[in-house]
Amino acid sequence: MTKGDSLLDRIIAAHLAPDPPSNGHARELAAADPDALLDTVLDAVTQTYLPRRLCFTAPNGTAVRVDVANGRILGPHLSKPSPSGSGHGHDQDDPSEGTDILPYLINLTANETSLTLTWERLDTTTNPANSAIMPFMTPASSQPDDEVTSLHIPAIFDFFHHIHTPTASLVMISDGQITQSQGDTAPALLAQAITIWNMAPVLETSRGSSLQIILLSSNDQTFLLARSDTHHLAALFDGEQAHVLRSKICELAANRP
Amino acid sequence: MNIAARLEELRYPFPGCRTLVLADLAAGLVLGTNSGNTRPQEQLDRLAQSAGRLLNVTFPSTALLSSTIHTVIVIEGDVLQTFITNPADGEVAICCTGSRTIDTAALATRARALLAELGGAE
Repeated sequence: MTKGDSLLDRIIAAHLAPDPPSNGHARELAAADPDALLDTVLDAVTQTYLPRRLCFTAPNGTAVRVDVANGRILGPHLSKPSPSGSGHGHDQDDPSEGTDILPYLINLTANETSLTLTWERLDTTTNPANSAIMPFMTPASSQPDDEVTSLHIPAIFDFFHHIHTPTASLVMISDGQITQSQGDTAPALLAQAITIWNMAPVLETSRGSSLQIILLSSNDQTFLLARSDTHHLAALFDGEQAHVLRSKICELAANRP
Repeated sequence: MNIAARLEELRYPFPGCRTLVLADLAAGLVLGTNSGNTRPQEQLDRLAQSAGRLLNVTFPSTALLSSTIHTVIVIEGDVLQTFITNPADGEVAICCTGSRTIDTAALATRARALLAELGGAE
């Protein structure tokens, strides 16, 4: 996978067609019609089955919320000054604030590690540009160099889908496209998987890794999440199977061709 | 009760386990630790915070998970992290970082026994 050609990058690029971004990874929203292009961007984000409301944390700690369902940006930084001139609007739960984005220049960039939203007011020179970063995937890594990391996600998929316990729900994404989807809860599963990927730790491996596997078990169900540079896999199993699945993955690695 | 000593007892049968942390999930705080070598506090804090995030993850649809997560295993390269809590009492967790060859099932059984003991001692 080339740099900047991540899942999200591909999705966003596809939805920003027909005019490809000049730098290949970014698209500026002109002030003339930011709503329409913002809708396009949010449509693209929605295609990844992200939650209805996203929360970006800006470097200064300010939360910026995007109401995906209604295609609006919520939050104090994107609100017009109040009529009294006392500052920005503050009711972040008021969807009507989404109509206040017109004076802003918004820039969305996606790379292999994050989705970055930057914005600045066009009607003032006193407000510096702001930015918010949503980590999306772990950084691209060096060459896989041990048994587990040399596994390919399609192999894991084949193993668990065709050989091991049937899954209640399963989604696999390859090169930015959903290639496998099974079960009524697949969209919800993918949304939850993205949430978990965003909060998952980046382990301090002694050698570079291109594959991360996360297993989460409750008393009656288990999530299997796997991601690499090119593939994402989310599967839901019946039963508490985190330890069994860990053993199966190591076994699969040991027996790989 | 010496928490560090109890964690050392827990870690001893698992040579692949490099560090154990007892974490308060709500606060993401390190309550106790035992490690084969000195670990920066920042690493221990990150471990506790990861436990809080992953074990407390909420699911918008009960169709996905109808009960609370009590075990998380993360494997990346040759490193494994696992976060274990008691289903009946999910306020604290034992976090382990080490080799991916660790017998996580055996570790979870022993960790839950220790968590129950620590909970009863409070």
